[in-house]
Amino acid sequence: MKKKKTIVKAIKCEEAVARLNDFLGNYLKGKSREELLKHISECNACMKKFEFEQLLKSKVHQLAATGDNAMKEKIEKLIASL
Amino acid sequence: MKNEPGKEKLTRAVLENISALNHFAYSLCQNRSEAEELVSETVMKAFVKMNQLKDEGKIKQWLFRILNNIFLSNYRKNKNQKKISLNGEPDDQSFSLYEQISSSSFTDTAEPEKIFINKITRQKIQQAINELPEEFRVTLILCDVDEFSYAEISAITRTAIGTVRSRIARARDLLQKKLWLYAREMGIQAKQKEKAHICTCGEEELEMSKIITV
Repeated sequence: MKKKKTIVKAIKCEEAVARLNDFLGNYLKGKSREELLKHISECNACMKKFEFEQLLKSKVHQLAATGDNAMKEKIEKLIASL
Repeated sequence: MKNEPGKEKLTRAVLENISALNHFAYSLCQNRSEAEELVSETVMKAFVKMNQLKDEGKIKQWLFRILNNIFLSNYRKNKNQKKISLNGEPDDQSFSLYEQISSSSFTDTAEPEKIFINKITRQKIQQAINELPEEFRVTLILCDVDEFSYAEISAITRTAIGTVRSRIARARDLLQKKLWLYAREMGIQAKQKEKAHICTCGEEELEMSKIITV
């Protein structure tokens, strides 16, 4: 039995950029995502743009608070008193 | 309070997420002591309403939703949305920080955008986010900082997924406009009439041929 070839549609830069936010938010799935990944792998300009957007997103993610011990202790006391 | 089986799990979930809850509360209140108060109220309410939690796999999302609800009913003082100051930047939604920086005249480097990413500080990014209007700020933090899915953000903020999507897009756009102001403070200057996005997939060649035939 022959394997069915999956053809990934080519999209233009404009369409790729329109999908950027859903891609960064992990909302882009299936064919839409495959088409985008194919485009990025073939278009150097879009690849650079997407790399920048991902780096910026990771900088924003680094704002995630870490180890607030004073607050943790306060809440532990609060829970114990409930 | 009795030592119910759920209490232990809830305690663990609260303590594991306390920093994230505190950061989220601060992003909403923009005031340290109010944020701590909001988190304490959230924790108390979570324990009181513990029996209403149907899916233990969604404890984190549930805690964030309680916090957001308490903020909306008790803490939000000014219901008029804060407007971002864009210092004269045109208010279009297609703003791209990458396009601006990569076509800038910043030093001799071939990749000014990488310099910008390395130089921009955590404080500046936080400051830019703090200046976003509330609904965009909240959505962006839930998505990019706390890594909730669109569906989870929709449940936390009680808004449609379509609204979450558009708010994230708008929030990123506004954030990039604000960061562009910081980029200019760093000495990055926009160059006129130069396009950074030199397309390698056919469109640019088409544009060039149009110019040549004219």
